[in-house]
Amino acid sequence: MTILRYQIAFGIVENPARVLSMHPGALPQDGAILSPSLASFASNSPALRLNSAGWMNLPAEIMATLRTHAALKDYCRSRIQKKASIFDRPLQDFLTSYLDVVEAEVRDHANDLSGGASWDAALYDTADWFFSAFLPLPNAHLRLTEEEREETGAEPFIRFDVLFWTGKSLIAVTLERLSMQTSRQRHAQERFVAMRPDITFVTIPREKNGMRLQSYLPSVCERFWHGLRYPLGPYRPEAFRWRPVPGRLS
Amino acid sequence: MQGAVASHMKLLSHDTMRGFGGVGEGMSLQIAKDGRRILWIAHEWAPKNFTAVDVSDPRAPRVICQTALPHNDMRSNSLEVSGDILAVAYQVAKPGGKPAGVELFDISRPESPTSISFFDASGPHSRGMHCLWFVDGEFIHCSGGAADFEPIHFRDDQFYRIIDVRNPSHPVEAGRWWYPGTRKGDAAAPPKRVRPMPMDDIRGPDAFRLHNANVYPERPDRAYLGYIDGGAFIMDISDKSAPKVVGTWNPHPPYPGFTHTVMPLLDRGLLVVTDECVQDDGEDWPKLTWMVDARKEDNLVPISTLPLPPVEEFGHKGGRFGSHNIHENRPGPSFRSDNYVFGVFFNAGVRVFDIKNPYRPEEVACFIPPMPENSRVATAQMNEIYVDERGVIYAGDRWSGGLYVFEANI
Repeated sequence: MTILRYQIAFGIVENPARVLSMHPGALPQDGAILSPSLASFASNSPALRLNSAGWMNLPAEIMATLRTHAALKDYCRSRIQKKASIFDRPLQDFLTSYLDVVEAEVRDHANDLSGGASWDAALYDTADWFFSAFLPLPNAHLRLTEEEREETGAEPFIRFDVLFWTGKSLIAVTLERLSMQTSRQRHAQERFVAMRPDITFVTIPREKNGMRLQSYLPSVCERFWHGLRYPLGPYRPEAFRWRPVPGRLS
Repeated sequence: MQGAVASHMKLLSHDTMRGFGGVGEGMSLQIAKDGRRILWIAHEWAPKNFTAVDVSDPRAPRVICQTALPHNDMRSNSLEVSGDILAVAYQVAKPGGKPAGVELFDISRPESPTSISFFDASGPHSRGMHCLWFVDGEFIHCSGGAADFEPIHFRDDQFYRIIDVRNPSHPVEAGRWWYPGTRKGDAAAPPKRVRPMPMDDIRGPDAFRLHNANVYPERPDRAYLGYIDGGAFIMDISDKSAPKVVGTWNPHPPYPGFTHTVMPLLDRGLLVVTDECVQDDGEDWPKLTWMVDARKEDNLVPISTLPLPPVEEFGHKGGRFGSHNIHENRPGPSFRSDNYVFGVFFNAGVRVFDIKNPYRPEEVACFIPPMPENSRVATAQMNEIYVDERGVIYAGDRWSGGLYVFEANI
């Protein structure tokens, strides 16, 4: 099976090439990085989740002030929200909706997630499963291969509103907007979609009364904890950090 | 095109519109019932009223209809199409003249427009209508005078008027708003003039009257006004009979006046605000296009301007130099973008800007045609622009050049 590699600059990014150049380790075949502005990994890597270390800065001195689940969750939410431009309302709204959906999903399945009568139940708060949700990579610029660049006529990167890596597939989310693409952009995206069956492309329509994300992103929003035994928080000692090694608990 | 300057833009065609190539501030595209694309164009000056051009093949535009004004002391500067109805603004040279108002036409047969009705805005102190916005088939938002409106200064005669045309054969006023202190009898003090001289010329460079009023179906409770020397306004029009100011921003003075267009980028919380250059030879430089942070409607903050080419090159090149009309993202067969601004800048031609980073807009394409034959000035004076949903760019010269059709490599 072919191992694919993904290099994604995300967040407040004007020049994705500059982001990549700041992370020389992202380019070698076996390199793997999750930083506040770059995710670089292979297709056999475990999922990227909110509790994957590296995408947000969470120094010990701040962690020490986040004494409740709610405080830690709010901090995490605020870090995600800051990765959308202040001039991008649809993306801000999407991120808010997504994190609300995640919270609701955990709440709705609290009984299944509580650990029952086992000693596990004493280890964690059910609400901590929030941090196991898939990590949205907002304003994501996916680097194209040379072949893709030639075929699509696109720039070195192709932009999506959000990318998720579920450990099984890369999900590329496009938010329907008032703004149209130029014909060159549209053409490049259509050619790219046709070339990449490994990527799931989802377009979320513009709706007036909020977004029902579950119906558009079931594999992201529903039972995202499947396959995980314990919820882990976003603050993890070095030894437990996200590693792109297949089979390890993420 | 010999003598043109082009960057990432290609001229597809050029049509001088049967020798009447003075294009005003109205371009609007109709998709006719038979599928043809008909571009309706207002004229800057008499004797022509409006011209219809079949642009189904943008490489071979063809005039299919051209109408005449009833006399030469008037102009039909502005028009808009909604469905098969064309609305045309009539402005007369002097207050009291006629016809002054808005005429509606049935254009279901584009070769033979048929008048439906006329909304009379004439009056002893009115020059009628200057600019209109009509995109929903229901309401016209326009700058106009009225029989019962006496301005304190005669240049301030055109204010914000909303006309209900849901029954197109019987248009009626739905609401109005004017800059406080500009109408005789107002409690507010008259605004201080920005560039008052000459005070006795009705075409003088200074005015507290409305130019553009833009209302978008995604935000039907908001009107975005360019009130010339009064600056930019966001109005709450949820009650059309009583528009209310939500926010305002005005760089004039110290800038030299004439706020023209206020275009919201609704998904981004931004406004694109243009001034209009109204004097030749760089006399009123700099006339800018501003990016304004409108995330908080009652606290509008300018954050950048679109870069203009060098004044030393263009200021004395002939005619006007600076901002004017932009493609206004109107609904319909129209390109709508939050990331690109398409504008006309008189002798600096047609320019396209990437505003993805609104703090640092970048020019990405431009085209400057050479001076058209029979122009009154030594340069092309690009005056109006429209971009269709395919990205085809239509622009017009103010004096004689007529219609230019482009595509941009962006």
